[in-house]
Amino acid sequence: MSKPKSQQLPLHKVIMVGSGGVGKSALTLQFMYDEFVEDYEPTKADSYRKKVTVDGEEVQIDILDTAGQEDYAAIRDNYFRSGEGFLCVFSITEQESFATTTEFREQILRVKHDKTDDQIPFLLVGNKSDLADKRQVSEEEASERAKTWNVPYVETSAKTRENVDKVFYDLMRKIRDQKALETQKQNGKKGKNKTSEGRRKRKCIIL
Amino acid sequence: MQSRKFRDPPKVTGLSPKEGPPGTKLTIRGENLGFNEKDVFCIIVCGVNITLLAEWISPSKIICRTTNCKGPGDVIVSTKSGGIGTSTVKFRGLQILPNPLQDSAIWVDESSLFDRRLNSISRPSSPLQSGREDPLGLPMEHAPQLSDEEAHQMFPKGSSNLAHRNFEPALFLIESHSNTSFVDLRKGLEHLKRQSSGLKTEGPQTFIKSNLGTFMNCQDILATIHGDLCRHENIGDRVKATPGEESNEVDGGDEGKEADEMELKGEGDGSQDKMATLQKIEDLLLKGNENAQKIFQSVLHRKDRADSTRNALNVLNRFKFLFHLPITIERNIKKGDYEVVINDYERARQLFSKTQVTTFKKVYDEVENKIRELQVQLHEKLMELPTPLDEQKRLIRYLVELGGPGDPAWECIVNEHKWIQDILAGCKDQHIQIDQKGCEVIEPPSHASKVRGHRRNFSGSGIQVKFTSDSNMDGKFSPPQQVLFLEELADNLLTTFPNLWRLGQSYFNASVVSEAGGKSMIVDSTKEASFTAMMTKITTYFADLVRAAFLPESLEKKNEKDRAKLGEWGASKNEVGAGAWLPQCVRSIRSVLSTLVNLEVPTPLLEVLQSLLADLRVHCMVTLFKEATEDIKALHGRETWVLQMDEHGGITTTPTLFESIVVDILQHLKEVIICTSSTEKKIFDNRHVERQTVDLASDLLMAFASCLEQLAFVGDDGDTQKLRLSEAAMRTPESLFQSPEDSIPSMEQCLVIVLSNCSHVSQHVVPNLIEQFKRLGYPSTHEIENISQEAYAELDEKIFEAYCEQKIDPLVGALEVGVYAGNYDWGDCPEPTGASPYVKEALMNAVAIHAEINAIAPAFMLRVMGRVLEAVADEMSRIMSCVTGAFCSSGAVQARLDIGMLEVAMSPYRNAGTSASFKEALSVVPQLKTELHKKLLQELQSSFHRDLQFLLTCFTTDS
Repeated sequence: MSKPKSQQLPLHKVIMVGSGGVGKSALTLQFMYDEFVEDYEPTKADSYRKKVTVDGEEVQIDILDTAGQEDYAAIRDNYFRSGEGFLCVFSITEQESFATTTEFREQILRVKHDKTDDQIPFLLVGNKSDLADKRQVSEEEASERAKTWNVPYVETSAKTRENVDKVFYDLMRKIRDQKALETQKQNGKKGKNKTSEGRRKRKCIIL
Repeated sequence: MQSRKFRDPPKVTGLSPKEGPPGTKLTIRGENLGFNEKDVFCIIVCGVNITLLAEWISPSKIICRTTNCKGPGDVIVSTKSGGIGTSTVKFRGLQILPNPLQDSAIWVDESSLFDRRLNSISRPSSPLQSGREDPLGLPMEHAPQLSDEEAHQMFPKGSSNLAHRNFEPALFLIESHSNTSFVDLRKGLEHLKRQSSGLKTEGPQTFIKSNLGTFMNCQDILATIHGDLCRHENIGDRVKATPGEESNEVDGGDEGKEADEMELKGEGDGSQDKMATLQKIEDLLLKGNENAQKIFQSVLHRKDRADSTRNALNVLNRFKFLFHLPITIERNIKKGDYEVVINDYERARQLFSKTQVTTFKKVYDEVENKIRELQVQLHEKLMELPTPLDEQKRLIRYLVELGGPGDPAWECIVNEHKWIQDILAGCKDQHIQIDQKGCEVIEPPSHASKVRGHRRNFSGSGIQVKFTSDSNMDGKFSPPQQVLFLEELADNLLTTFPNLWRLGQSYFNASVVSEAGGKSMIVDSTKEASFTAMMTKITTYFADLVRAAFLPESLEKKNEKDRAKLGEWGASKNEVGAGAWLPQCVRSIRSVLSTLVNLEVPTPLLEVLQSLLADLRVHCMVTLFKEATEDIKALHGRETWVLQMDEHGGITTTPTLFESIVVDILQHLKEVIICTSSTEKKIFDNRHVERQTVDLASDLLMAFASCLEQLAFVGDDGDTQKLRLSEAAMRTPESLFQSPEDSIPSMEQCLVIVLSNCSHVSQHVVPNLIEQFKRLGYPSTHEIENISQEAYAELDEKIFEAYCEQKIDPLVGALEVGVYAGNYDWGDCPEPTGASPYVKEALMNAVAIHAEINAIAPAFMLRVMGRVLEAVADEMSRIMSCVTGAFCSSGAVQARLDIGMLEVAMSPYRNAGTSASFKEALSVVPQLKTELHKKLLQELQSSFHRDLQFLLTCFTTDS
């Protein structure tokens, strides 16, 4: 009963990217199941899907939690292709993970070559904000980079659940808006054509 | 019943990972995945039931392993409570065909592989041949367009066989694709290109792999040829034919082909080039070899790696013990299984302590670290007090067996020693504090209970010391603080000291460790001395603390500072009743001593306690005696003057009270005085103590004398008078003096009563008590008896004198007055008609005395009346001798009558002295001259007897 219904719901495909150990899975699990997993187990590719309500609208979110390790770099392309929105995660306690975000960004843009930068819903996420005393990446530094990319920057803590929901919901809104824009474009083209045609026709008639 | 409740169906919302080959560990997350392990009854991944490989973690998490799951498919969890579930995510089972050198989690159907390999062994095949499909990927035309002859004609040496040396593409195309369209052929070309590009990387390797045997053969043959060539170099021309033939036999291999070609060329060049040819062949061979090696390098390399991995696994398995050790140790430490830890560690140390392998070293270092941590932990535990002895021993044994630095047992001993001292000091401070407070707020029971409660708390199973309330003590007196202090102190010592001592003993005979059969411990015998010193210190400290509380004067030898440290107690020790608790203290100290004796501690230690005990006993005795003496002295206030008659005469309650006090004290002191064990000193052996005891005992006994004296002579002062008055109301009905006017006995009566009491005491009470003293082993009882009897005798005398003075003086004084009443003249008097009035008066007085004595103390009758008679007789003789004038005949009769009557009336009490006095008195009186007078005298005498018959009988009855 619910199956066909849920299938009808709009589906937003979110992809978690970022280097290994920055807390992509932790964020995902915290968002999905409200649990914080202490022990680290490298992810290969995990898939999660659940029904959520964004601004009163029931949607399904599909989260693909990818592997951060370089070993799996080759298969990323495939995953990225299917993604509609990206959470690019780094650890504020690890400068290197911050540096790698550039590579991820580039890879995404490369894979999604059919779209422009601002057409790809993308959030830069600085995780582990609870470990303030081990901070290596300053907020300014990260915000600066987000600015140049023209994307939002949010700091989260999978441990304390700080901003966890926010990043997912923000991203889903972006995806939704982007999708709406696209359909409008498609419809718009037709509609515009139609209306203009109609207008033209009418005008023609009048004229 | 809850489990029956219907719930929402399970829903899988997360998979980690979302794809994988068979054998992937798959974490399933979702909602309502069963509320326990049994609730989940089916898990299906891509249509494959893997319930048996699943592990239920929580209602939102299940971990399982995939098997031969194919393609994207749902993950369906079904529970008893929720029914068949759904899934929002899909799992993609990857199908990989592992090569023979790969591990696989599932059974792989290798039949196809196997077939091919069988074929390949029997007959070499090219990669293109093995798959019998068309190289262009186009359907083949099976009907040949050309006959064999035609073909042979067109391509004399060619072949349509792809693998053939003389393969002619044209012939192949004619044969197979003569009817194929150009477009199709073009597609075929593309296909071929693609294929070949794939083959470039994969082809040769696969080919060589499947024809390994052939290659080996080729290699061997070529090597043989080479060898032969080298050998035959010098022999010359004949050689050249052989290799050619040999090499012609070689067929099918790349290297073979190349070699063949070279060979053929070589043949053409002739024998001059033979050397060069050979050289070339050699090069080719080497190159081939190199190529072959290169091809197999990766496989071999992989094999090497597999081997090394396997090796490593083996090593890991073999030395699993070591690698697991850190975790095992931690786990066992948590569990408290120290024995296991020690055993493991011992084993590890034997095996790996001298290892040169870095990995082992690393792990072993970790183990060492863990052990060090354990040591520290155990050490801390050991230093934690109080700990039962067995526990301590066990901890020490662990520490020794773990081979930690230092001497744990000794450290433990030192620590415990300090701890005991602290406890003792703390106990002291606390009690002194309470004592000082207690001076203001007297609330001893709560204090006591608090203190005892506290003591219980830290001594655990402390010895229960019962406070026996003493019969002669008022219940309202709670034990003084010192006593409580001593009790607690002793209790503390009893609970802690044996532990320490036994620990020390087992340390010095090394049984701490050897009990478990562990390695021997090096015992530093020089520490024995300091241990003994420590023990002595504790004991002395204990003794000093007790002394400070009870016998501060015995510490005067010490300097001020030390004494202050031992605590200064308030002066409250002199409060009433403190002595009653002293036996209790003695008992406590005794139990301490006996415990120590049982522990077989060295004599110096015991001596400290023994002397303390002895001092305390003496102190106890002295205090009790003194208190009893005070009590007895105060007895006069409790005199009720109620007489109780017995065969010896009347006594009041005071002697009984006195006796009971003394008996009580003796009973009380019984256990103090009597040595309970051979280790105790006999306190009376000390000359000084003996002297003191005799003095005290005498004082005790004599105290009553002073009490009696007070009653006798001071008894009529105002206070006592009042007391008597108040007590008069409480008189018992049988009191002899119960009359409204005269409820209090007169002074004289009191004297008699006291006299009676006194004699009762000296005759019965004192001997009794002396007997008791003797029985209890007091020294010099005779001396005590003598002294006290002396005192009572003296008192007796004194009281008697006083009484007589009181009674006889008026009687005697009345005589002379009576004789000369009315200017009586012996020389001129009328005919006597009877005894003179003064005689009667004197007799009446005597009777009054008699009555008084008889009422109170008949035993004194003879003594008192004798004295009365004596006094009367003396007085008569004095009066008679003082008569100056001559007696007339009547006067003589009168005098004889009077004197005779007096003598006769009191005859039962007469003695030689009185008779003589009367005779003397009579001697003054002239003899009667006439019969008439004699007769008159007789008549008068008999009438006197008759008249005063009743009066006279009272004197005779009791004699």
